[in-house]
Amino acid sequence: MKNKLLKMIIKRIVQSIIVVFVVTLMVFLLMQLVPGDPIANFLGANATQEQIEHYTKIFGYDQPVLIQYAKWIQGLFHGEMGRSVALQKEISEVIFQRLGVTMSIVFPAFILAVVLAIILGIVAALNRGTIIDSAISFFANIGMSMPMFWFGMILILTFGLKLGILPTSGYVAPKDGIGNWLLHLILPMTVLAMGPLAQFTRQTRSSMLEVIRQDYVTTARAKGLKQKTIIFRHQLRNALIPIITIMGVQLGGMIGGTVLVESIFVVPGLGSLMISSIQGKDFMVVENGVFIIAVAVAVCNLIVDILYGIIDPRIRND
Amino acid sequence: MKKQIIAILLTACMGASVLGGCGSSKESSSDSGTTTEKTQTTTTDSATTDESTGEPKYGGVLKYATHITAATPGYTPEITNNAGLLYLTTAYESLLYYDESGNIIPKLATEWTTDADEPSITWTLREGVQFADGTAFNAEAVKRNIEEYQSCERNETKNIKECQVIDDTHIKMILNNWSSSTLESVGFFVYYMSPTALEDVEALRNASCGTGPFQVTEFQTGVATKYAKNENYWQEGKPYLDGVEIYVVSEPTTRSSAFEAGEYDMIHMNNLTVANDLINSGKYVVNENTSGQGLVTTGLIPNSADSTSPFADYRVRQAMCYAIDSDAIAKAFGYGLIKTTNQWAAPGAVTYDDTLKSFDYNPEKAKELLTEAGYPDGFTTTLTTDSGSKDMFTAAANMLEEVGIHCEIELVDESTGSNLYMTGTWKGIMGHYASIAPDLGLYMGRHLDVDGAFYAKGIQHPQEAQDLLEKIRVAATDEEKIDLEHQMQQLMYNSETGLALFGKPLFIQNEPNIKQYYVKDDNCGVCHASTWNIENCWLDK
Repeated sequence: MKNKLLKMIIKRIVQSIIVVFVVTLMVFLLMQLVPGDPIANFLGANATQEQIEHYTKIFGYDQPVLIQYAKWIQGLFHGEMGRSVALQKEISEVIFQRLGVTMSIVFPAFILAVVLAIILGIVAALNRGTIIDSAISFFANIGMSMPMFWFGMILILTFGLKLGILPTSGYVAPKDGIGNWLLHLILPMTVLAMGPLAQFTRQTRSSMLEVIRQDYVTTARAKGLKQKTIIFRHQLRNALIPIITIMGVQLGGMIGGTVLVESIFVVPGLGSLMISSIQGKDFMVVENGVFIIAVAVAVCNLIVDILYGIIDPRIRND
Repeated sequence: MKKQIIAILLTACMGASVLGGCGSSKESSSDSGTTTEKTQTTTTDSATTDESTGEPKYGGVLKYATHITAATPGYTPEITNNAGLLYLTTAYESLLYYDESGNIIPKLATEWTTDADEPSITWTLREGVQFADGTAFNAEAVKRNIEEYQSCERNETKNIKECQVIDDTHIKMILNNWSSSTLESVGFFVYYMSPTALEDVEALRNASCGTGPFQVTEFQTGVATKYAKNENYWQEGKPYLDGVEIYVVSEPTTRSSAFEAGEYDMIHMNNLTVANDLINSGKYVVNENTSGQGLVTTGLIPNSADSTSPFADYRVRQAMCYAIDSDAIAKAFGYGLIKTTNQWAAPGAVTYDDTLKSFDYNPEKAKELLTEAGYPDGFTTTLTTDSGSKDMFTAAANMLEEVGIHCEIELVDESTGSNLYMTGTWKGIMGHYASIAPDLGLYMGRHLDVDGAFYAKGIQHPQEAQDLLEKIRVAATDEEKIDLEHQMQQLMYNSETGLALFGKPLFIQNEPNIKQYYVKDDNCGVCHASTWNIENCWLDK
């Protein structure tokens, strides 16, 4: 059994490496097609041709495209991401600092979404057809269809401006005070969690309803097991497989989704770095940012695959 | 048991978040309450008169939010955009500065003499000035900085052949050839760093060491730059503030909401709709740029380089200018925050020629000119625009339609747009953005020179204009230069004799600085759109 699981993990890791490599190639080539010169953009309207040439040479943009790509990939193997034109800093230094900030929003938002969704999904399934079920389904539909940007603005205007109970924007590092950090986290975390929460709730409800009429659940009831045991040990555990699939996909999506949330709430994370780098034509930062996101998504998918294997032996054996 | 502990911990975390939120609510509400009570209604006109009331008070930290980022707040040769000057002028100073009319005034230099015959500038430097690290600001420091700028290929110092140190307070710059632009280029665009700090450029990129009133204490690229008072500042008793914090907030609505919530004392607003809402609330003060320095004109430029294009004929270009009602466009899209202009200058600036006969809106005259040029039934052309100017240029296209010039709107992204104007390959008409500065020869030259970097490859280069441009560059005195610059304005923009090579300037973009009523004497964006006199600023809280 262990050998089969190990084999499956290795197979998935190899697949993930191939996917990440293809993503790096695609993003690099796509960025070459984007009009605009990072050096000219950095130097601005007052730049001279000599100045542009000077910096183009320093940053290696005068070399053939394939050589640039090869150097980038070679650098990645050595843990080097190159130097940002616009930031005038080593990209790895900036990206990992920003990634930490992004993760400090993504993980609490993800946990919030998962915990609430499982509770709401179970409650809705157990009260199928009642007003509670309708209310939860209504809430889930609203959550899924609400544009993130609009929702963020509404929260800023309501809690930041009108009620004045939460900061409208900004980020405070945990080292500068846990309370202040949490306070600044509430609005961006809520916006980021809303979409996944709605989707997880719907998925949990529907999976729970599927297993609720299964023979083994009827048997468990007939055996006189407690309702709590039936729900958590027999129903939820079997309903988890499709929920985990959605969670894996959504976690990757949430890391990408921070691009918008961080811009709205002025959070100095990876997402806002990507936006400013795209605007500033700082292609190397964009390429490395996409690389990091691709790796994060691949890791999430890998974890999901491993969890599948652990939860459902049929998948492991396949 | 484990599950129960986790559940308790989660509940505790969520409870702490909620309690934290409640805790701060009192503070925020109290702040905003105070703001509402003490607000005063000001308009753009009265905003500048609001300054200098009462005795300056010491203390406080000014929090400013903008969408503009700086790659470095400390290594000045790498700040090449005008927009970055706000960061620079907080920690650094130049030899010269501009006053509210765009005239040159002394800063780190007290006097200067120019010699056009033996091309040179001799500077007398201010005595008793030190950098923040205690290094003396003297002629050697100036020489070292000029060399640093030259090593970074900065255009402003390109014409300097040699720096001769006469004594501590005098330095002579020998020029390759005389250019009327060099005085301002060297005087305004070189910001002096401590020669000691220059020994470690990498460290300076994340810090600062200038002669300015504040020095960087914390720098997070694209997030915030924090400054503390420079205890070595040379102006006695200044600065008044304890510190300055500049935050980067890209999204205009978020910036505006945070400002309204009292989280910032002043904001730079690049969205006119949002700016208009804030101003109309009557609670805030708006700084008004009085000289046009650092602002940009927005207009429409026809491609006249293509000999087969109707715009190769100056009468068609003139017809285009007559057909557009720039006042109506400014009124409809500017919310009263933008001014119209009829030339490459702001009204009131030294390069502005009051006597110019402009292309006032006259569709009948436009039709006449089109008929004269052989287009009685008009023609179809392309109007290229980016999304930011799309609405106003579409309005201009509708006006052109009235006289028979049918424009097919082509929407391009910013990068494609910049590629088109740098290569001169736009078809028909496109947006024309031109920086306003007292040195018209330098800035217009970038568009008018045969090898100019912007728009130049898409327009004609008549000898008359080239000769005049050269005369401006070699003008020996300021008076001569200004007179020649006025002649250039006439040659380009006069409705009777003008070549209309740059089409029609519609208005001057103005991204206002909006502040709370208690921020005084900052002069932010007044003398130059991207600078402030932060040493004079104080908070009247």
